Amino acid sequence: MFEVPGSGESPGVVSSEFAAVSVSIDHDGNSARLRLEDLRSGAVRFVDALELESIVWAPEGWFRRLMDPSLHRWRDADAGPGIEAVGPERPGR
Amino acid sequence: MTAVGEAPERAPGERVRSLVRPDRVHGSLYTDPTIFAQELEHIWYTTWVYVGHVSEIPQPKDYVRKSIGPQQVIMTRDREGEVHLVLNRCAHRGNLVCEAPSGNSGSFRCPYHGWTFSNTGELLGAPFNKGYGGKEGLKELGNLARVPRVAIHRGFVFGSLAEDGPSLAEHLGPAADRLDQLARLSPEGEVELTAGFVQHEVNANWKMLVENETDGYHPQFVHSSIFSISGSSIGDLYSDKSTAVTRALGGGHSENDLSPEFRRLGVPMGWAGTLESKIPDYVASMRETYGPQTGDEIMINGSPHIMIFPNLFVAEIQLFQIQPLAVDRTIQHVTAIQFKGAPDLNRRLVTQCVGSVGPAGMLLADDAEMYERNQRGVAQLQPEWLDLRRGLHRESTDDDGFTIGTATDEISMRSMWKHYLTLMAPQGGAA
Ligand code: FES
Ligand SMILES: [Fe+2]
Repeated sequence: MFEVPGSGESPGVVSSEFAAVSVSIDHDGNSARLRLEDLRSGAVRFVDALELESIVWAPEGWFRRLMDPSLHRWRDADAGPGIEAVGPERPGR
Repeated sequence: MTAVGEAPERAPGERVRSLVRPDRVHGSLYTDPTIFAQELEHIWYTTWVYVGHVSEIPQPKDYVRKSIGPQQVIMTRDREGEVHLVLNRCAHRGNLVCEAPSGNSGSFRCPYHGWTFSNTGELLGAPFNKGYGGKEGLKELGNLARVPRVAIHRGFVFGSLAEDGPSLAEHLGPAADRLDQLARLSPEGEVELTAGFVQHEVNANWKMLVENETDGYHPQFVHSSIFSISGSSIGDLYSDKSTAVTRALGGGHSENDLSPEFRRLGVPMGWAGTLESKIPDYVASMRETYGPQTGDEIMINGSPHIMIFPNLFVAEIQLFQIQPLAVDRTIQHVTAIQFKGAPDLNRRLVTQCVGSVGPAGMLLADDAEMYERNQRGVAQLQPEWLDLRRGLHRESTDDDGFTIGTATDEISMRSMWKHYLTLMAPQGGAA
């Protein structure tokens, strides 16, 4: 399977034909957080417990809005900062 | 999808009518690409076509790639559990949106330029949308096309590419009862198509397959080797000595009803070629669910052998979905039928189906050889017509008003062609 860097536990891969994301729990911080790695680009995102809880409670429409490619990752250059995930060249933080 | 000018419409209908007679059909019906094109328009893109089963998309956001003839369809389940059929063609420049045979995803991102759609077909966004005038401009862009009519019977999902027409219940008619009969063989009343599909492609016209499915005249010849190897007595049921009947159900549907023989045998599961002692858990739960008497009746009567026009064939323990791709190219998608709450029976059914219709299955290989030889045969110039008169003089009507014949009579083909004419040459109706 995929090698997940860091001290994460229970790594797994959630994938479809559209995307592949490695999921693990990271303990480098003062409390646990979710580590998400986009396996196609290497970009990494950490999500803390409260953020996760908010996702659980977010309405479906919020997810649908996120699915718009122009919202973040593929936004036009003059539409403001888009990408906040940690790039592959800067693992960790 | 069905709108065509009227002038070119008339001539083909008349031509087809001249090629279909009550007791014979013309060879060009299997070989002429222009007739195939008309069939797509008047049959495959008009009438109800079987697409898939709800058990193939059990969870919200599940999807599976299916077809309506050459049209690629994505069958999806939304988060409320509703089933949708969308065409697999990006609204941007027409790329295939889904490539995997199945998956779980609430939205689909086209691999070409990244347009992203919900699994019900709605456009959610496109990359760098200023090129379309920003978010507002997206409203002008298209969605994935939806199959306009979707209806479900007993978990079997049908789609029609025509906006209007007969309801699914009208289309199925008495064939709906046979799907009920099939589902009743589950102690929980549900069929599950979870065993996976094998695709068999043959160089033959799709109607060769439809006609063969309930042709009781061929098994003793074509399948004699598998019957003798497996020691199966099923072959004997397809003879004029048998009490089994071939029945025209109307709407192009037909069946080989072997149940009179199974009732004569009077043994639960005799129809499946297995014994009560081999599947005790199944037999026990059937008796528990339906009561000892009804449970036994269901298990004695067995499973239907029915061709539901134009593309769903249930052959007792296996299910075939017929997909025409060209006038001489057809795929059969085959799976072992599974019954919810019947793990011991299901294991046996998979094993049996591997032997009959798996990649090296003997039953389907026999038939496939006949389809391809038949396709090559009808391409010869003479004698032009295929003879369908077998049993015409001894057709009768059963208690329910259906036309029946002996197990080997060509009732099913004649009734299929009668229905074919009503679709292909509507003005005159049946010839
Ligand atoms: S063809 Fe699908 S995004 Fe361009
Ligand atoms: Fe056969």
